[in-house]
Amino acid sequence: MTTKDLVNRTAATTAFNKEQTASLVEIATQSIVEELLNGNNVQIQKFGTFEVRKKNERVTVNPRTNVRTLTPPKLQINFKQHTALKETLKDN
Amino acid sequence: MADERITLTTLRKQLARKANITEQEAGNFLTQMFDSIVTGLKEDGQVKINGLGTFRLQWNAPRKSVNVQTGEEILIEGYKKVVFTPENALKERINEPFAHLETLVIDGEGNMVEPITAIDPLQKLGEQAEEIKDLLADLADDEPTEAVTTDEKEEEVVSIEEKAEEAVAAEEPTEKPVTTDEKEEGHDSIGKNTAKTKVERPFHPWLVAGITVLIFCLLLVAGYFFLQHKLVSLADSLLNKEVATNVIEEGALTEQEAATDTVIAEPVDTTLIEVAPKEEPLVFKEFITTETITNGSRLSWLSRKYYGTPYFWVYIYIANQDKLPNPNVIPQGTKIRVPKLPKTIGNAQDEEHIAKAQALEQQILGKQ
Repeated sequence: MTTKDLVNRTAATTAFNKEQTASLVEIATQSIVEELLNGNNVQIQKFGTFEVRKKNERVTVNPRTNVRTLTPPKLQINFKQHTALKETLKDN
Repeated sequence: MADERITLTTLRKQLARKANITEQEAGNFLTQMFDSIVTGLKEDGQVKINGLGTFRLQWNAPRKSVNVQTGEEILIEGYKKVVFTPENALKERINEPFAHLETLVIDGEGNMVEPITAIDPLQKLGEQAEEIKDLLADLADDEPTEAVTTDEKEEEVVSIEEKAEEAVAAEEPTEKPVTTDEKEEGHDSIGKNTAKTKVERPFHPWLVAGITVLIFCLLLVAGYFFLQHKLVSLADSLLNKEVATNVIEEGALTEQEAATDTVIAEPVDTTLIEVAPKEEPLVFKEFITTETITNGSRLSWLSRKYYGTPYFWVYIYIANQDKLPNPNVIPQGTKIRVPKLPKTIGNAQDEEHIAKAQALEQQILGKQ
């Protein structure tokens, strides 16, 4: 399902037309992204949580060449699904 | 890393405000949107959203496990899990605070690697011996009368050595006196007969090299005092016409000690006076670069990038105060000039500097 399909599907169930829902979907995703960039976790009820997680730096070894490398720390977005989703997806 | 918890309520408000619809409509829309995502996952197994990322269904196969309470074997059923992969552009944006770091190659002890060519410690010692000989040669060349002053020099050498030895009491004693004696004698006409045989021991190259460097530095300091001493002792020797060695030695020693004391005392006093802090208004004249603010970037990230610590954002703010009335509100596209921090305040490793920046932060945020 692409973004376009999502827009069509959402437009069907709401009172907005396709252009409106397209812009609304974009605004909604941008809001989520902004909050993540600010370092906040975003929790969507019945869906899941988007978290910003930090990975610390670590020493990695290439087993073949035995070259040791220091990987720098980084931030990642992590999504954890809501527990109820497991059930809903099972019905498929 | 969460400052506040963002839920549908907050998103609803933001959506309503930005899209000019009522909160109820916005809330309804969001619920519908996420329901559609779930439906899309059920049907296609994957939902891609531009600007965010892709949700996929991942099948986890059934596996055997153990009931932790009873100990009996149980079977965990297979299930589909929702996994999310953010878009590449988003991944980079979220990692902006750490974007400037790179992976490094390191060696066994955790140091940055450059292939180190093994230095022969004895060779290093020999080279430094030469250098010290030359240094002492320059110093001693100024002597007019050798007879009297060589004895005094001997005494000075002894007193300096004593100080040096005291200072380095913990270090290996056998090697140090041997090497210092050899270096300082190499030049005097009257040599002290302290031919100690060097003890053969298993060499730890780094330990030896470290001690050698230490000796070298101490001797440079000694040489400095030596020079000052000589000026004082020269004057004294001219006044004292008695040549009885013992008397001169003792007298010279005490005078030198006195001279040493005064010499040492003065620098300490002046430095104490100089250290009094001066408060001046911060004006930045030199700038490292100019950064344009993009969506979601922060002064603390810029500070971390250029200075190594986020706390120095206060200086970036001060340097750009004309453009930024409020440090929390920075319009997109603002060109921020990143100032070059003077060494008195800009050392990321120095706790005092960080404390100072934090105090400034309190000041700035207090005014808001």
